[in-house]
Amino acid sequence: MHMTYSARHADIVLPVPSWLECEYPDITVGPENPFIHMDHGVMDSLYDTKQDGEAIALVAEKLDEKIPPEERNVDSYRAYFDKFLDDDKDVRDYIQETLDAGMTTRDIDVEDIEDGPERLQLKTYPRIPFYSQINEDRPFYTKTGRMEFHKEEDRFLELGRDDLDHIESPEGTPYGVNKKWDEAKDEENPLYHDEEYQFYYNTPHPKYRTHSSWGMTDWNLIWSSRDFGSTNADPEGTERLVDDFSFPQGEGETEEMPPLGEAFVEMHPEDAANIDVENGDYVRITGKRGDLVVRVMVSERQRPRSAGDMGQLTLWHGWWPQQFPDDEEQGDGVKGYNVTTNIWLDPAQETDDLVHKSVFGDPNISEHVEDDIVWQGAELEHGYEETVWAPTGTNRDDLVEVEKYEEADWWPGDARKDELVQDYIGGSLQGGDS
Amino acid sequence: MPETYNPQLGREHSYPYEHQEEERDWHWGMIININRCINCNTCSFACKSTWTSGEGEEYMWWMNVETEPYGGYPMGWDMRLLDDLEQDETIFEAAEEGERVKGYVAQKEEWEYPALGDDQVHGEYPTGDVVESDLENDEYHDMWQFYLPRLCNHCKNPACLAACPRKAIYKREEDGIVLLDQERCRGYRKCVKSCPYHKPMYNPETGVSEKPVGCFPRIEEGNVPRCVSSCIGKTRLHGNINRGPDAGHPGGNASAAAGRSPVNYLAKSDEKIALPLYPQFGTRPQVFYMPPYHVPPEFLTQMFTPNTDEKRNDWPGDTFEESIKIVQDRVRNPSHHTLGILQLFGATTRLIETYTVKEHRVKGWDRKGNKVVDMPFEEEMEVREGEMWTNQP
Repeated sequence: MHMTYSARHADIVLPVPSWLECEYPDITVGPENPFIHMDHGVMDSLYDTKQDGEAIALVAEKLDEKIPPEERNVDSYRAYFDKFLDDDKDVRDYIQETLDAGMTTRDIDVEDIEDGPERLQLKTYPRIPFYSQINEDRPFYTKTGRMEFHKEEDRFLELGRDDLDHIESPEGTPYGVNKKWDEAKDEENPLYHDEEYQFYYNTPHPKYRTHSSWGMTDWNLIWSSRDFGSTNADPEGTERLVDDFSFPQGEGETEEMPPLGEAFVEMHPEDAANIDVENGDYVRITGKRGDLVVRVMVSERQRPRSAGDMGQLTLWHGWWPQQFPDDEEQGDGVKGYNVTTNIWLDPAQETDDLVHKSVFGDPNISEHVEDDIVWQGAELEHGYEETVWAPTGTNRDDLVEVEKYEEADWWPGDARKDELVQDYIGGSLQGGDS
Repeated sequence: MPETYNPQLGREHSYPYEHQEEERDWHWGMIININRCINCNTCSFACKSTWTSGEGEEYMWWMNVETEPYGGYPMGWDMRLLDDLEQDETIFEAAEEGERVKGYVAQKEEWEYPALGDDQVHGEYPTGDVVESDLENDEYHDMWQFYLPRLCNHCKNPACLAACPRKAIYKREEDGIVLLDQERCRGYRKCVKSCPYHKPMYNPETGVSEKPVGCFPRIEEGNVPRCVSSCIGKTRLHGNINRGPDAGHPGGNASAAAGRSPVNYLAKSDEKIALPLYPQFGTRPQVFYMPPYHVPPEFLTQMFTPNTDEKRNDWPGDTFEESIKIVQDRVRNPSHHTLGILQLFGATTRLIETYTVKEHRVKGWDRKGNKVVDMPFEEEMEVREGEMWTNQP
């Protein structure tokens, strides 16, 4: 737990318990599996927190005092939010109402999911996308009702994107940017130069978390830190890990905690040797938009420059800026893995012409379901839809230059340097003469 | 020093205690299919949150997954011991004057890198065509790595037990689980030093040692350990490693299958498909691994066989390298019966005592003879009639 940026910029922070501390049940489904689950927490609340419903009711009650009684919309916010208040209130009735209103959950009883996951009432089990369209001649969610590999909307024609094609990256390529391969292959990215120390730079989601959540959690960091190990989770030694993080003894003091863990960029050993960088040293990464200083993990997981074009760097997404060191030579105070990267809006998304299914609801069955099903009457939609047409950060690949910044003040362990390792890998270590 | 027969090595060797006959009716055992492991470490976190989340336990991972060949927790634990041992020499035979077991105490910094070499491959970055494995022609992919889940083996000749001067470590009569009595322990760390798998660990806050407990409270309730039940990749099967072909119906229930447990079949039958980790150390570990079939056999021979020129045990083949190749082939092309047992991996959190594989259906029963699994090799697809919700998200 730490002060996130949202919390720092807020005037008021209302602490709520995590899911693990909530006694009341919650239901979950996901697009990847055909089940609905119900779970509840397993531990008492840490500190003095209030559940969401309770926090909202308390705030609403206070705000209500400023409104004359005759002008109030709700007699009692406490009654209005009753189902969500405190642990001793039972939310099962509300969950049942929710289940009853869903096309895929209407025959499920809340008691059933208390005993374990239940199958959603989907067309097929397991879940096979577009089963009805392929096997029962139902329309796809397009203007023509067919799968459209060719788009005749004006925007696509204008951009020459009416047919499916590979488009080169908007930035992370030595070839022509943002063009079909036929054109791109004969051009050169103006950022590209065939000299040393230029790299592809990418920022993928890391292995043990998705975004920045858990990015300062000790167990997570110990494993995420790979070759840098616990020492990276805990630069000052185990005592700090114990006192500040594992077993916080504080009684709500607001003193700002130093960040736990340090970001790193992975670089192939050949490329690291070229710029005289050893495992754990610092480099400055400079791109079109900015620069950052970060520690290098020498790693054969990366593609070396000798394999063609440029070397590859990977710096995981989701580190907090506090986990990067300051650039003491040219610090502009801006740091983090994404200072060099860009969010790019594909111009093909700048249109209201496209027909698509809304996120919720299924137009193919919307006339067949009863009135009390919540998505009854759902139709195809036009234009903007978050998660369908919104800009995203998916094109965060980049060309950068790298220079050595500083030598490390500690070096992590490295099993590859053990003199026994070659015999070990070759299977001849035991009984050998090493 | 008393001698004991070690079937994994096919010979007798010394063991510090007069060997109490360990062939209990019921003994804790586990099979891990390495080929299914994706190094997600859900097992490690399940174990950590269940057993070692207290003060003084920050560095302890009773369950960990390491990437071979570069990983290791503690760092280089197996390299160090392999280097110290001669061929055909157990840690009991290699013990120096005044010691019972050959071993070493890993230092603080060696425990600091549980994710060392995580996901790293061995081999040069390919510049030409990638070499695919072609086992019939003895060709292996030129880059390789695999994930090795590591936990306490609840050995039949435990080195920790042998080394403890306080007799604080004991093997439970009812299930063979090796436990450390923290009331008796004085923190001499002989177990920490002697366990070749480095699973007993010293707690600096309490001043005594701790060791993995085989999730015994769950075993007593008929459930599998947390590392098994939490595994998202269905890599593991847990059960009674000692239940052989002549055993009767579990719980005397005639409707439940008699005979072998599924783990016993995979580790002990003529169709052996799972091998112990470093049997040459001599402790008779009871976690058995289905080896990765894409990895060169030299490395696996060192890791999963006695690794001696002379082959004395009953494993298939004339040499241990042959044993590895035969087992790799069984893993790659499992028989119908083995394929049936593979369906039991991750099928239930209940502990499966006996099973049957008939045609394309596999069933399992618990220790009381209650049926806990009844499933086809392949789940049937269900198509609901009429206008139904699309399978879209």
